[in-house]
Amino acid sequence: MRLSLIQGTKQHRAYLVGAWAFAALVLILVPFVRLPWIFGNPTGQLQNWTRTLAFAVAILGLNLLIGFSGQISIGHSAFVGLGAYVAVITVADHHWSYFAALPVAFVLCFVVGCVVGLPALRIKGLYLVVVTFAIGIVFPTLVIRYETITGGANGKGVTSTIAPPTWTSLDPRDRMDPLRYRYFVLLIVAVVMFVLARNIIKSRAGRAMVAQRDNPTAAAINGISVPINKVIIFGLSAGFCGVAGWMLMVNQPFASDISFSVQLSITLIIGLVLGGVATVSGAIPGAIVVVVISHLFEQLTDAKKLGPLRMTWLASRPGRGGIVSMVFGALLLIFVFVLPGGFIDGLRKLRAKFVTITTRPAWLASINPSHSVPALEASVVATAASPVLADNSTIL
Amino acid sequence: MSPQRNADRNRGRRVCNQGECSSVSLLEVEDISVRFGGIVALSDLSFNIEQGQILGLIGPNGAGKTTMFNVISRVYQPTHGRITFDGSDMLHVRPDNITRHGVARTFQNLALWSRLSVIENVMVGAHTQGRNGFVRSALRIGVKSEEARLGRKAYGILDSLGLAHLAFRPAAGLPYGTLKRIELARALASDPKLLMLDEPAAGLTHQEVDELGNLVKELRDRHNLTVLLVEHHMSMVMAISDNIVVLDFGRKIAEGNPAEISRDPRVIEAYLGVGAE
Amino acid sequence: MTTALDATSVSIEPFGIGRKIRRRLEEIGIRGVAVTAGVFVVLSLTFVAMDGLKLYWQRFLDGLANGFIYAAVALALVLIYKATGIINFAQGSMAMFFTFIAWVLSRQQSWPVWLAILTAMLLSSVFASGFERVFIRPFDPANHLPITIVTIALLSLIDGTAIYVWFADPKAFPSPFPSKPRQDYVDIFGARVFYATLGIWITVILMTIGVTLLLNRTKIGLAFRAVSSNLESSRLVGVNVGRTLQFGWALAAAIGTLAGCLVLSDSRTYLEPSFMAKSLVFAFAAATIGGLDSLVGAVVGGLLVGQMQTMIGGYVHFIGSDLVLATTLAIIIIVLLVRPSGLFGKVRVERV
Repeated sequence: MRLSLIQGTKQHRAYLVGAWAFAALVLILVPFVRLPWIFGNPTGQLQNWTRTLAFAVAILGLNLLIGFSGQISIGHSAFVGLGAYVAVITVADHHWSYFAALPVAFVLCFVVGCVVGLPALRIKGLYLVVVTFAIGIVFPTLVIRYETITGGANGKGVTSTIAPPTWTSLDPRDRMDPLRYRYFVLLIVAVVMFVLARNIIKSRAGRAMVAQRDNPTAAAINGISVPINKVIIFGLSAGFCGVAGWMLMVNQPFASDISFSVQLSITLIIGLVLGGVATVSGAIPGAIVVVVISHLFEQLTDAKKLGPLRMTWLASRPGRGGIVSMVFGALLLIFVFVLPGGFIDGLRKLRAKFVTITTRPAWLASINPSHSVPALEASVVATAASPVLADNSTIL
Repeated sequence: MSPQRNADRNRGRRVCNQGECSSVSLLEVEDISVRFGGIVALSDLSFNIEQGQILGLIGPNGAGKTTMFNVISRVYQPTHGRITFDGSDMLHVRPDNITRHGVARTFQNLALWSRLSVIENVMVGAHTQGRNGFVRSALRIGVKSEEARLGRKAYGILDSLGLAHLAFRPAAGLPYGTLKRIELARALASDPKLLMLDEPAAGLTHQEVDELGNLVKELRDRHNLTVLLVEHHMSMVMAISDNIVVLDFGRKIAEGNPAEISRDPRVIEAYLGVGAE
Repeated sequence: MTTALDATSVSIEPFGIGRKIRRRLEEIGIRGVAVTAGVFVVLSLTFVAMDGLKLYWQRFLDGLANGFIYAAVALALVLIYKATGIINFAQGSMAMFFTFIAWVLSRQQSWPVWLAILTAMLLSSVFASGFERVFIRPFDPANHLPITIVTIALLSLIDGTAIYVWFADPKAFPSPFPSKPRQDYVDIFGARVFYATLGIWITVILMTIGVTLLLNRTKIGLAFRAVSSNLESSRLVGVNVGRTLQFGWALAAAIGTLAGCLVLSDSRTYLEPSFMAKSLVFAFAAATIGGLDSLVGAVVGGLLVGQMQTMIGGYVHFIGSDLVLATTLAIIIIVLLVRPSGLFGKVRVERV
C-alpha cells in the first residue's frame, strides 16, 4: 500500500496540511502533557521542553555551518554564551526588556561571527577548525577576566522574567502559567528561526551554500563568491546560536562561564549528528535527545525526581557525572555508523516506504505541463536523501 | 621563429581591409607562461579566438592544455602574460566573476553536485542571473518569481539537450555521458559568450562522440557561442574546429585549420610517441 | 611491497630536520625569516630592558619546558593529521586516559615509574591501532566530517569513562625524574632549572630524534612518508595504506601518552580527567602555527608557543595571566592570516 503524490496537486496539499497540523498540535500540547517517568516534576518538565527549543535553534544554526556549508566549528558555544550574556547583562544591568535584547543578541553574534569567520577568507579547511576551537576555549576565560560585567565564575542572573500579559488570562503567580507563556513565546521565536533557515536553504543562496560545500572550485567558476558566502554563513550560524543563548536566558536567566564551555559545542554537534547533518528539521529530534538524555542522567540517582527510570546503583559512584559523556559518545559512534543521516534520514527512508512525492514545481505547468517521469525514477527521487556523512561524492 | 610569431599574433586582431573587418578576436592570449615550482607547464603561449569560432586546443598528454584552461578560467595565475577577453583584461578578474564576463567552462573530471538534483545543478550555472542573497531568501522577497525564472530557464536548456525527463532526480548515479551533458547544460545556463569544454568526449562511445560534435556545432550556432575545445578525440576536433592550436611540452608547435594541422610534420612528430588517435 | 617502495623512494624527501628547515626557509622567503627573527630579537631586547637579563633568561628557560611539552603533543596531532587528514580532537583525552593507566600501574600496582609509562605508551598504541582499524578506516579519508565526528565521539567517550572510573579529584603522579625537595634543580647561568624540566627537555629531544629515525630509517617510516605525501600513488605501488596509517595512529598515541606523563612530572600539575585540556589547546596552536602537515613545524611551533605563553604572561602586564590563552590564540590567527598554511606547512595547489 503506497501513496503516490505529485507536488502541487490537491492530494499533496492535503498531505502537507495534515502533516503540519499534526506537528503544530504536538508542539501546542507539549506544555500540557505530563511525562512523569522522564521528568520528575511538572515545572522541570516544562523548563526542559523550553530548553529543547533553545537547543534546537542552536543546533539549527550549527547545521547551517557544518551541514550545509561544510565548515566544521567546535566553538559555537561561545556564540550561545555571547547571546546569553547579552540578554542577562542588558536586562539585569540596563533594565532592558528581554525582547529588546533579542535583536541585539542576533546582530552582535552575527557581527562577531563574521569577524571570526573572516580568517575563512584565507584559512582553509581544518586550520579554521582550530580557530573555532580556540574561540570556544577562550570564551569562558574572557567571562572570568571581565568578572565585573559578567559575574565571572559565580555567574550572573536576572530576577525579572518574561511574565504573561493580562490578555492571555494566564496567572503570573501560578506555578505553571508563566512557564507555559514563556514556552509559547520561545516556540514562536523558534518557529521564526526555522522558517528563516528553511527559506535560505530552499533558494538561490541555499544552492550556493551546498555548491560551495561539495565543490568549491566549480562553485566559484559558476559565479559564487565562496569566501564571502562562507563568512556570511559563519555569521548567520553565530547569529542563530546567539538567539539560542537568549532563549536559554528567557527560560532560566542565569549564565556562568562553565555553561558555555566547549562541552556545550560538543553537545550541540552530538545533537546535530543524531538529528541529521544538513537537515533543517533534524535539529528538533537532535535537541530532544540531547536535552532529555542530559536531564535523565543528571537526575538518574534522584529517586524523588525520577520514577521508574532511576538507577540507584549509581548513586554511590562519585564519578557518575561521566555517564552522560559516555552515553553521548557511544550514541554518536553508533549513529555515524548505523544511521549517518540521523533521525531525519531514517524517517525519510521510512516515509519513502509509504509515500512517494514527485517533484513538480508550480512554474513547470507554464512550460511543460505534461512533464513525464519514468515510473522507475519516481521512487529514486523519494529515497535520494543522501546524508553528508555517507560519502557518495566520489562518483562525480 | 620570430616572424612566424608575429604572423600568429596578427592573425586574430581586428584585421580591416578596405573598410571591412574580417574578424574580431573574442579572446586574446598573449605570452602566457605558467610555472609550478621548477616545472614549466606553459611557456610563452599566444593564440586568439575569433568571435563565433570553434578553436581546438590539442596536444599529447601533459602538453599544458588543461593548465591553459585553468588560466583562462582563473583557477591558476600565470607567471606572466596577458589574456584579453572581449576587450577586458581577464587576469584581473576573480574566478567567481568569469561567468559575469561571459566565460563558462566544463571540467575534465566532472564537477557536478551529486547531492543536488539535475535541474538544481543547472540552476547553479545560472547563479549570476539571480539576485536573491541571504536576506531576500530568508524573507522570501521575490524568491518565488526568481526560482520560477531560473527553473524555467534551466528546464528549457535541459529540454534542448534531451535531458528534461531527468530534471528532478538527483545527479548521483546517472550515466557518465548524461553527466557530461548536464555539465554542458550548466555551462550554457550562464549565457556565455565563450564556452570552454575540457575533454567533453572523454569516456564516451564512438557514436556518442559523433553526436557530441554535432551538438557543439549546433549549440554554437543557436546560442551564438565561441568555443574553446580541449580534446583528445582527433576525429571530433578535426570535424568541428575552425582553427586548431597544437601544444607540446607547454609550447605552441602549430596553428591552423584542420587540413593544415593534419599535414603539419611537427604535429605528426609530436603525436608519434603517444600514438595519434 | 619493498621493491615497489624502493622505486618511489627517490621522490620522497627524507625527514632530515636540517635539510628540511633549510628548504622551508627558502620557501618562506628571506622576508619571512627576517620578520620572525626581527620580531623575536626586538621583543627579547625590550623584555631584557624591562626587567633585566636574569629574569628574561629564567622565563626563557621556563618557556622552553612548556614548549617542549606542546611540541610533543603537537607532534602527535601532526602525525595523525598526516596519516588521516584530520585533527584528532581526542588526542588529549587519549593521552589523559593512558596517563591514568600509567598512574594505576605505578601507584596501585607499584611498578617502577618508567616501566609503567612505557607500558601505558604501548597500551595506548594498541588501543589507537584498534580504534583506527574499527572506526576510522571504514571512512573515505577525503571526507573529513565523519572522521572528525568520530574523534569527537571518542573524546566524549574517553572523558566520560575517565570521570566515571577515576572521578574528578586530583591525584599526584609519581615523577619520573629526581625530585628531592630543595635539591631538585640545577643552575644554568643564574637561572634555576628543575630536574623535572631538564628531564622534559631531554625526553622530548630524545623522542623527536627517535621519531625522526623511525620515519627516516625504517621501512614502515618510509611507507608512512609515502602515504602522507600521496595516498593514491602509494596504494598503486603496493604500500599497505591501512596498515601504514594505523602505524601513524599508534605512534601518535604513544607520543601523546608520553607527553601526558611529562606534563605531570611538573609537581604543580595533578592528574585529573581534564589535565590535558590546556596543553592540548596550546598544542593545537603550535601545530597550526607550524603548519598542520609539518613535523618540524610542530616542534618549532611548540617552542614558539611556549615562549609566547611565558613572555606574554610575564611581561605584558595589562594582559595578565588570565588572557594568555586568548592572546596566544589571537597571535596565531594573525599568523594564519599572513601564512594560511602555517610557517612550515605545504601550500597546496588546487587541482581541477
